[in-house]
Amino acid sequence: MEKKTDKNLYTILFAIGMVIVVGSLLAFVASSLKPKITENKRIEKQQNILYAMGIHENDESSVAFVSDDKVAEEFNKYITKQLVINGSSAVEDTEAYLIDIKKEQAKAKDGKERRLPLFVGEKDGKTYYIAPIRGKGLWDAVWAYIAMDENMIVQGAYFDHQGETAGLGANIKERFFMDDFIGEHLKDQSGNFVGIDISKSNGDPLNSDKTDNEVDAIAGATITGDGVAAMIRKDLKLYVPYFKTLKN
Amino acid sequence: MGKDSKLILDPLTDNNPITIQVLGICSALAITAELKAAIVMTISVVFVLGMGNVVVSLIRNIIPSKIRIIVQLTVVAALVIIVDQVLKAYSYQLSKQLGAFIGLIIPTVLLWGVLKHSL
Repeated sequence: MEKKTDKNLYTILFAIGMVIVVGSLLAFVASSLKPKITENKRIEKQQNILYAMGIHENDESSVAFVSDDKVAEEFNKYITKQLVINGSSAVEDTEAYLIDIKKEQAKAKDGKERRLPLFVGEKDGKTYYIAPIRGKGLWDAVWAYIAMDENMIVQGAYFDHQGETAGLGANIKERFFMDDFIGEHLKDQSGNFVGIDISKSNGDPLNSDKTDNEVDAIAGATITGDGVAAMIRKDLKLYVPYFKTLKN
Repeated sequence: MGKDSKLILDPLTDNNPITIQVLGICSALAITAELKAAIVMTISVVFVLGMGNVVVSLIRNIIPSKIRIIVQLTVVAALVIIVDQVLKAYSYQLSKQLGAFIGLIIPTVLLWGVLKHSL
Protein backbone atom coordinates (compact mmCIF):
# COMPACT_ATOMS: atom_id res chain seq x y z
CA MET A 1 0.00 0.00 0.00
CA GLU A 2 1.36 3.37 -0.90
CA LYS A 3 2.34 5.37 2.17
CA LYS A 4 0.67 8.69 2.70
CA THR A 5 4.01 10.37 2.31
CA ASP A 6 4.63 8.91 -1.13
CA LYS A 7 1.70 10.54 -2.86
CA ASN A 8 2.58 13.25 -5.34
CA LEU A 9 0.09 15.79 -4.05
CA TYR A 10 1.48 15.43 -0.55
CA THR A 11 5.00 15.91 -1.86
CA ILE A 12 4.06 19.11 -3.66
CA LEU A 13 2.18 20.52 -0.67
CA PHE A 14 5.04 19.64 1.65
CA ALA A 15 7.53 21.35 -0.64
CA ILE A 16 5.40 24.49 -0.83
CA GLY A 17 4.92 24.49 2.94
CA MET A 18 8.63 24.03 3.54
CA VAL A 19 9.53 26.90 1.22
CA ILE A 20 7.09 29.20 2.98
CA VAL A 21 8.32 28.25 6.46
CA VAL A 22 12.03 28.48 5.62
CA GLY A 23 11.54 31.67 3.61
CA SER A 24 9.67 33.42 6.42
CA LEU A 25 12.16 32.28 9.03
CA LEU A 26 15.14 33.57 7.04
CA ALA A 27 13.37 36.83 6.21
CA PHE A 28 12.67 37.33 9.90
CA VAL A 29 16.29 36.64 10.87
CA ALA A 30 17.61 38.91 8.13
CA SER A 31 15.36 41.83 9.01
CA SER A 32 16.03 41.65 12.73
CA LEU A 33 19.79 41.52 12.24
CA LYS A 34 19.87 44.13 9.48
CA PRO A 35 20.33 47.21 11.72
CA LYS A 36 23.36 45.67 13.38
CA ILE A 37 24.90 44.61 10.09
CA THR A 38 24.38 48.07 8.60
CA GLU A 39 26.02 49.56 11.68
CA ASN A 40 28.99 47.20 11.27
CA LYS A 41 29.41 48.27 7.65
CA ARG A 42 29.33 51.94 8.66
CA ILE A 43 31.97 51.32 11.33
CA GLU A 44 34.14 49.52 8.80
CA LYS A 45 33.97 52.43 6.35
CA GLN A 46 35.02 54.86 9.05
CA GLN A 47 37.86 52.58 10.14
CA ASN A 48 39.09 52.27 6.56
CA ILE A 49 39.01 56.03 5.95
CA LEU A 50 40.92 56.71 9.16
CA TYR A 51 43.39 53.94 8.32
CA ALA A 52 44.18 55.52 4.95
CA MET A 53 45.17 58.77 6.61
CA GLY A 54 47.33 56.98 9.15
CA ILE A 55 45.01 56.74 12.15
CA HIS A 56 45.23 53.15 13.27
CA GLU A 57 46.69 50.85 15.88
CA ASN A 58 49.15 49.00 13.69
CA ASP A 59 51.99 47.09 15.21
CA GLU A 60 55.10 45.96 13.29
CA SER A 61 53.51 43.97 10.54
CA SER A 62 49.76 43.61 10.83
CA VAL A 63 46.81 45.83 10.14
CA ALA A 64 44.85 46.99 13.18
CA PHE A 65 42.07 49.52 12.92
CA VAL A 66 40.86 51.97 15.51
CA SER A 67 38.59 49.92 17.75
CA ASP A 68 34.85 49.72 17.07
CA ASP A 69 33.76 51.67 20.11
CA LYS A 70 36.20 54.53 19.55
CA VAL A 71 35.83 54.89 15.80
CA ALA A 72 32.85 57.26 15.69
CA GLU A 73 34.61 59.68 18.04
CA GLU A 74 37.94 59.46 16.20
CA PHE A 75 36.19 59.93 12.88
CA ASN A 76 34.58 63.17 14.03
CA LYS A 77 37.86 64.27 15.54
CA TYR A 78 40.09 63.78 12.50
CA ILE A 79 37.75 64.16 9.54
CA THR A 80 36.99 67.85 9.42
CA LYS A 81 34.95 67.96 6.24
CA GLN A 82 33.09 65.54 4.04
CA LEU A 83 32.65 66.73 0.47
CA VAL A 84 30.84 65.60 -2.61
CA ILE A 85 32.76 66.64 -5.70
CA ASN A 86 31.13 67.71 -8.92
CA GLY A 87 33.71 68.56 -11.59
CA SER A 88 35.82 71.15 -9.83
CA SER A 89 33.35 72.30 -7.22
CA ALA A 90 32.53 70.69 -3.91
CA VAL A 91 29.50 70.55 -1.67
CA GLU A 92 29.67 69.62 2.02
CA ASP A 93 27.70 66.58 3.10
CA THR A 94 27.96 64.97 6.52
CA GLU A 95 26.64 61.68 5.17
CA ALA A 96 29.11 61.52 2.30
CA TYR A 97 30.83 58.47 3.76
CA LEU A 98 27.61 56.51 3.34
CA ILE A 99 27.64 57.00 -0.43
CA ASP A 100 27.79 53.61 -2.09
CA ILE A 101 30.54 53.75 -4.73
CA LYS A 102 29.23 50.65 -6.47
CA LYS A 103 25.85 52.30 -6.98
CA GLU A 104 27.47 55.53 -8.14
CA GLN A 105 29.51 53.68 -10.75
CA ALA A 106 26.36 51.98 -12.00
CA LYS A 107 24.71 55.40 -12.25
CA ALA A 108 27.61 56.74 -14.27
CA LYS A 109 27.29 53.80 -16.66
CA ASP A 110 23.71 54.82 -17.33
CA GLY A 111 24.93 58.29 -18.19
CA LYS A 112 23.75 59.92 -14.99
CA GLU A 113 25.81 62.17 -12.71
CA ARG A 114 28.15 60.33 -10.40
CA ARG A 115 28.68 61.67 -6.88
CA LEU A 116 32.33 61.68 -5.82
CA PRO A 117 32.84 61.71 -2.08
CA LEU A 118 36.04 63.18 -0.68
CA PHE A 119 36.99 63.24 3.00
CA VAL A 120 39.18 65.98 4.36
CA GLY A 121 41.16 65.01 7.43
CA GLU A 122 43.58 66.87 9.65
CA LYS A 123 46.38 65.36 11.65
CA ASP A 124 49.44 67.07 13.14
CA GLY A 125 48.80 70.18 11.09
CA LYS A 126 48.70 68.27 7.79
CA THR A 127 45.65 68.07 5.57
CA TYR A 128 44.69 64.76 4.02
CA TYR A 129 42.23 64.18 1.17
CA ILE A 130 40.83 60.67 1.18
CA ALA A 131 39.00 59.31 -1.84
CA PRO A 132 37.10 56.01 -2.03
CA ILE A 133 37.64 54.13 -5.29
CA ARG A 134 36.36 50.87 -6.70
CA GLY A 135 37.43 48.49 -9.45
CA LYS A 136 37.63 44.88 -10.55
CA GLY A 137 40.21 42.29 -9.52
CA LEU A 138 40.56 38.80 -10.90
CA TRP A 139 37.42 37.23 -9.46
CA ASP A 140 35.33 40.05 -8.08
CA ALA A 141 35.40 43.65 -6.88
CA VAL A 142 38.34 45.40 -5.30
CA TRP A 143 38.09 48.76 -3.61
CA ALA A 144 40.31 51.18 -1.77
CA TYR A 145 40.61 54.40 0.21
CA ILE A 146 43.52 56.54 -0.97
CA ALA A 147 44.70 59.47 1.16
CA MET A 148 46.50 62.25 -0.69
CA ASP A 149 47.91 65.69 -0.01
CA GLU A 150 47.02 68.66 -2.19
CA ASN A 151 49.69 67.66 -4.74
CA MET A 152 48.08 64.25 -5.14
CA ILE A 153 50.97 62.50 -3.42
CA VAL A 154 49.71 59.38 -1.67
CA GLN A 155 49.85 59.65 2.13
CA GLY A 156 48.33 56.27 2.85
CA ALA A 157 46.18 53.59 1.29
CA TYR A 158 43.81 50.85 2.33
CA PHE A 159 42.83 48.11 -0.12
CA ASP A 160 40.14 45.48 0.19
CA HIS A 161 38.51 42.89 -2.03
CA GLN A 162 35.47 40.70 -2.37
CA GLY A 163 36.98 37.40 -3.35
CA GLU A 164 40.58 37.48 -4.51
CA THR A 165 42.69 34.38 -4.00
CA ALA A 166 44.00 33.93 -0.47
CA GLY A 167 47.78 34.29 -0.39
CA LEU A 168 47.90 35.91 -3.82
CA GLY A 169 45.46 38.64 -4.82
CA ALA A 170 44.21 38.87 -1.26
CA ASN A 171 47.64 40.15 -0.26
CA ILE A 172 46.69 43.63 -1.45
CA LYS A 173 45.42 44.00 2.10
CA GLU A 174 48.80 43.19 3.56
CA ARG A 175 51.08 45.83 5.07
CA PHE A 176 53.91 45.12 2.65
CA PHE A 177 51.74 46.11 -0.31
CA MET A 178 49.75 48.97 1.21
CA ASP A 179 52.79 50.56 2.88
CA ASP A 180 54.54 50.72 -0.51
CA PHE A 181 52.09 53.38 -1.61
CA ILE A 182 53.02 55.89 1.06
CA GLY A 183 54.79 58.81 -0.58
CA GLU A 184 54.16 57.67 -4.15
CA HIS A 185 53.33 60.37 -6.68
CA LEU A 186 50.17 60.12 -8.73
CA LYS A 187 51.33 62.80 -11.15
CA ASP A 188 54.36 62.63 -13.39
CA GLN A 189 57.26 65.08 -13.37
CA SER A 190 55.39 67.52 -15.60
CA GLY A 191 52.35 67.58 -13.34
CA ASN A 192 50.04 65.41 -15.42
CA PHE A 193 47.95 62.79 -13.66
CA VAL A 194 49.18 59.30 -14.59
CA GLY A 195 48.21 57.12 -11.63
CA ILE A 196 50.39 54.34 -10.21
CA ASP A 197 51.44 51.22 -12.07
CA ILE A 198 51.62 47.88 -10.29
CA SER A 199 54.75 46.74 -12.03
CA LYS A 200 56.84 43.60 -12.30
CA SER A 201 59.71 45.55 -13.78
CA ASN A 202 59.94 48.24 -11.13
CA GLY A 203 63.63 47.57 -10.51
CA ASP A 204 63.37 49.37 -7.19
CA PRO A 205 63.31 46.71 -4.49
CA LEU A 206 63.31 49.13 -1.55
CA ASN A 207 60.70 51.31 -3.26
CA SER A 208 62.92 54.32 -2.62
CA ASP A 209 61.94 56.09 -5.85
CA LYS A 210 58.62 57.72 -5.08
CA THR A 211 58.34 59.69 -8.31
CA ASP A 212 58.42 56.75 -10.69
CA ASN A 213 54.64 56.22 -10.50
CA GLU A 214 55.33 52.53 -9.90
CA VAL A 215 54.92 50.07 -7.07
CA ASP A 216 56.10 46.45 -6.92
CA ALA A 217 53.58 43.87 -8.10
CA ILE A 218 52.67 40.80 -6.03
CA ALA A 219 54.02 37.54 -7.47
CA GLY A 220 51.14 35.38 -8.63
CA ALA A 221 48.64 38.24 -8.47
CA THR A 222 49.11 39.89 -11.85
CA ILE A 223 45.47 40.41 -12.75
CA THR A 224 44.58 41.65 -9.27
CA GLY A 225 47.48 44.09 -9.48
CA ASP A 226 46.40 45.28 -12.92
CA GLY A 227 42.89 45.75 -11.58
CA VAL A 228 44.22 47.86 -8.71
CA ALA A 229 46.26 50.04 -11.08
CA ALA A 230 43.30 50.49 -13.42
CA MET A 231 41.05 51.37 -10.49
CA ILE A 232 43.48 54.01 -9.23
CA ARG A 233 43.88 55.54 -12.68
CA LYS A 234 40.21 55.56 -13.62
CA ASP A 235 38.63 56.70 -10.37
CA LEU A 236 41.23 59.14 -9.04
CA LYS A 237 41.36 60.87 -12.42
CA LEU A 238 37.85 62.12 -11.69
CA TYR A 239 39.20 64.11 -8.73
CA VAL A 240 41.91 65.92 -10.73
CA PRO A 241 39.78 69.00 -11.56
CA TYR A 242 39.04 69.52 -7.86
CA PHE A 243 42.68 69.17 -6.86
CA LYS A 244 43.61 71.78 -9.49
CA THR A 245 41.41 74.27 -7.63
CA LEU A 246 43.26 73.51 -4.40
CA LYS A 247 46.55 74.73 -5.84
CA ASN A 248 45.15 78.21 -6.37
CA MET B 1 33.20 1.54 29.71
CA GLY B 2 35.27 0.27 26.80
CA LYS B 3 32.55 0.96 24.28
CA ASP B 4 31.97 4.49 25.58
CA SER B 5 35.61 5.44 25.57
CA LYS B 6 35.87 4.09 22.02
CA LEU B 7 32.97 6.38 21.08
CA ILE B 8 34.90 9.43 22.21
CA LEU B 9 38.44 8.44 21.23
CA ASP B 10 37.78 6.95 17.79
CA PRO B 11 36.98 10.25 16.01
CA LEU B 12 40.16 11.73 17.44
CA THR B 13 42.55 8.97 16.36
CA ASP B 14 41.41 5.93 14.37
CA ASN B 15 38.48 7.51 12.63
CA ASN B 16 39.49 11.15 12.51
CA PRO B 17 37.20 12.87 10.01
CA ILE B 18 39.84 15.22 8.72
CA THR B 19 42.97 13.12 8.52
CA ILE B 20 41.54 9.63 7.93
CA GLN B 21 38.12 10.02 6.38
CA VAL B 22 39.15 13.25 4.61
CA LEU B 23 35.84 14.93 5.43
CA GLY B 24 35.30 18.50 6.49
CA ILE B 25 38.52 19.71 4.87
CA CYS B 26 36.91 22.97 3.77
CA SER B 27 36.16 24.02 7.29
CA ALA B 28 39.50 22.82 8.61
CA LEU B 29 41.53 24.69 6.02
CA ALA B 30 39.71 27.94 6.72
CA ILE B 31 40.96 28.21 10.24
CA THR B 32 44.54 27.07 10.40
CA ALA B 33 45.89 30.53 11.16
CA GLU B 34 44.06 31.79 14.22
CA LEU B 35 42.50 30.27 17.34
CA LYS B 36 39.57 32.70 17.54
CA ALA B 37 38.53 31.80 13.99
CA ALA B 38 38.87 28.11 14.81
CA ILE B 39 36.58 28.40 17.82
CA VAL B 40 33.93 30.28 15.88
CA MET B 41 34.08 27.84 12.96
CA THR B 42 33.81 24.91 15.40
CA ILE B 43 30.74 26.35 17.06
CA SER B 44 29.19 27.03 13.64
CA VAL B 45 29.78 23.51 12.31
CA VAL B 46 28.58 21.86 15.55
CA PHE B 47 25.49 24.09 15.58
CA VAL B 48 24.60 23.27 11.96
CA LEU B 49 25.29 19.55 12.39
CA GLY B 50 23.43 19.34 15.69
CA MET B 51 20.40 21.47 14.86
CA GLY B 52 20.26 19.97 11.37
CA ASN B 53 20.03 16.48 12.81
CA VAL B 54 17.44 17.55 15.40
CA VAL B 55 15.19 19.19 12.83
CA VAL B 56 15.45 16.35 10.32
CA SER B 57 14.77 13.75 13.02
CA LEU B 58 11.72 15.67 14.19
CA ILE B 59 10.17 15.81 10.74
CA ARG B 60 11.43 12.50 9.39
CA ASN B 61 8.01 10.87 9.49
CA ILE B 62 6.42 13.54 7.37
CA ILE B 63 9.14 14.04 4.77
CA PRO B 64 8.05 12.68 1.39
CA SER B 65 10.55 10.02 0.37
CA LYS B 66 11.02 11.50 -3.11
CA ILE B 67 12.48 14.77 -1.84
CA ARG B 68 14.31 13.52 1.24
CA ILE B 69 17.75 14.79 0.21
CA ILE B 70 16.35 18.14 -0.94
CA VAL B 71 14.64 18.67 2.40
CA GLN B 72 17.88 17.88 4.24
CA LEU B 73 19.71 20.31 1.96
CA THR B 74 17.15 23.04 2.65
CA VAL B 75 17.37 22.57 6.40
CA VAL B 76 21.18 22.67 6.38
CA ALA B 77 21.31 25.64 4.01
CA ALA B 78 18.81 27.62 6.11
CA LEU B 79 20.84 26.95 9.27
CA VAL B 80 24.06 28.05 7.56
CA ILE B 81 22.43 31.28 6.36
CA ILE B 82 21.31 31.98 9.92
CA VAL B 83 24.85 31.34 11.20
CA ASP B 84 26.25 33.63 8.49
CA GLN B 85 23.88 36.49 9.34
CA VAL B 86 24.49 36.18 13.09
CA LEU B 87 28.23 36.20 12.44
CA LYS B 88 27.97 39.31 10.27
CA ALA B 89 25.96 41.05 12.97
CA TYR B 90 28.05 40.16 16.00
CA SER B 91 31.56 39.57 14.67
CA TYR B 92 31.88 41.42 11.38
CA GLN B 93 35.66 41.25 11.02
CA LEU B 94 35.65 37.52 11.69
CA SER B 95 32.86 36.93 9.20
CA LYS B 96 34.96 38.63 6.54
CA GLN B 97 37.92 36.46 7.48
CA LEU B 98 35.94 33.22 7.33
CA GLY B 99 34.16 34.50 4.22
CA ALA B 100 33.17 31.78 1.79
CA PHE B 101 34.09 29.00 4.19
CA ILE B 102 30.91 29.49 6.20
CA GLY B 103 28.92 28.70 3.07
CA LEU B 104 31.08 25.64 2.55
CA ILE B 105 29.71 24.17 5.77
CA ILE B 106 26.72 23.13 3.66
CA PRO B 107 28.49 20.55 1.48
CA THR B 108 30.64 19.49 4.43
CA VAL B 109 27.68 18.66 6.65
CA LEU B 110 25.72 17.14 3.79
CA LEU B 111 28.57 14.78 2.90
CA TRP B 112 28.78 13.68 6.51
CA GLY B 113 25.04 13.09 6.65
CA VAL B 114 24.75 11.30 3.31
CA LEU B 115 27.66 9.01 4.04
CA LYS B 116 26.13 8.02 7.38
CA HIS B 117 22.96 7.03 5.53
CA SER B 118 24.70 4.89 2.99
CA LEU B 119 26.98 3.13 5.49
